[in-house]
Amino acid sequence: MDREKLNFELTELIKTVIPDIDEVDMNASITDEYGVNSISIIRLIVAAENKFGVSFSDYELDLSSYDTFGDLAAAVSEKLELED
Amino acid sequence: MANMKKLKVTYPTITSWQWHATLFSILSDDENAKKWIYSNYIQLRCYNIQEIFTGDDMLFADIMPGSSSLKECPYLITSLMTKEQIESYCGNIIDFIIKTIDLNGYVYGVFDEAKILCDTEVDYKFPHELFIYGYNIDEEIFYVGDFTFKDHYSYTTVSFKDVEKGYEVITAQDDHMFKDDYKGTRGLYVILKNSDTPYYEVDIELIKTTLREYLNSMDTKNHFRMMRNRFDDTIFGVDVYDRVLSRINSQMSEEEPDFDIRALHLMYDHKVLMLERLKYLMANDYMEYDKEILDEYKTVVVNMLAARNLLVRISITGDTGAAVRFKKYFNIAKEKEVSILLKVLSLLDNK
Repeated sequence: MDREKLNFELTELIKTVIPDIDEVDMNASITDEYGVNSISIIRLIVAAENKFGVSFSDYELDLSSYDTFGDLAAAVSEKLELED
Repeated sequence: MANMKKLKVTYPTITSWQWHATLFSILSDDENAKKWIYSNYIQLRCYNIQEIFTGDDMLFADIMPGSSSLKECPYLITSLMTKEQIESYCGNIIDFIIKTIDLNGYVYGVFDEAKILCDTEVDYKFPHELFIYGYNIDEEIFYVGDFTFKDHYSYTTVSFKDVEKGYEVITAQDDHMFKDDYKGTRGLYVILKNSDTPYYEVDIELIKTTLREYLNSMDTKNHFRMMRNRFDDTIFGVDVYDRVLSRINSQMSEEEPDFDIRALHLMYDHKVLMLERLKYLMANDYMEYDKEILDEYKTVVVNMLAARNLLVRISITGDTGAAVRFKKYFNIAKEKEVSILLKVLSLLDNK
């Protein structure tokens, strides 16, 4: 998998987990633009763990660690050891 | 009367309960109010109640002075208005709220939010406090702060019509803000900000006394007589950790655990505020600057947050095997907090 495919699959996952979201801008604020909260970010992380076979520590579940969906994509990418 | 007015709000430092979110929305960035806020909000308490909406058993935790804070805070002037007063003064709730905001008063009270949330008629009520800080006559909306509409505390808008419907159906029995202290009546709070003149200095003696009460889990009903202290099973101070842990452990053993994370969110907010208090006391020379204390207390905040988030993860995945980690984070937070606050007390005593 490359980074582009990861972004595509993560975008689809976001729209599935948070159905209110139609269009995903990886660089927009996930709280201001999409209303993601401390619960929905954990739902999304758990779904990403299952989909991509990665593991987030309990200290990595906090909303403040992710300003954008791009930050979440970067965290998944790092765990998958993908090249930029 | 203008067509639109919004009173100033700042996203609150702590959000665990609507009364705290309201007070901090009005006063979070006010330098005078910080002196009162950091002198209070230290002691924790919890007790069992029945959840207002569902009737389920619930462990209710709060930071003192709890819901009394809106009435006790010297930097707010909170007036209680009964429904009869509101109708007599203005004839209807919409005009009353608009006129109150025109006079720089925030409005806070119990509304049936099922009427606000649902487009169609429903046969149940969801009585919940709504914080109103602005209006727009052209669009016929109020600007409000609440948890209900977006699953977390947020500022949004509600139509005049929905506010009116949500207000009309609430009975004195539904109005949990009024019913315990003002039996047979219902109404609203009108809240004015009163922070132009500083007349409350940081109360170091109160901070020390309350920290001791917190660390020793002392029954502080007498200290907080202005609050409702109706419950015989109230737990105070650091013992709240054990009570919350015991409750969650027992829920973990249920077939389909249904966790209530509100007590954990409250405890997390308590740690966030304690860290801000320590920074404030050091920055304003009430105690020596000590980087190690701040760094160590940050680990308390981080572990309490990890515990809260892990519980959310467990409620999503159902993996109760992670309970061991939950207990670990919780105990790290407790042990570290006790040791740091003992050090803080010693520094305050020796200052």
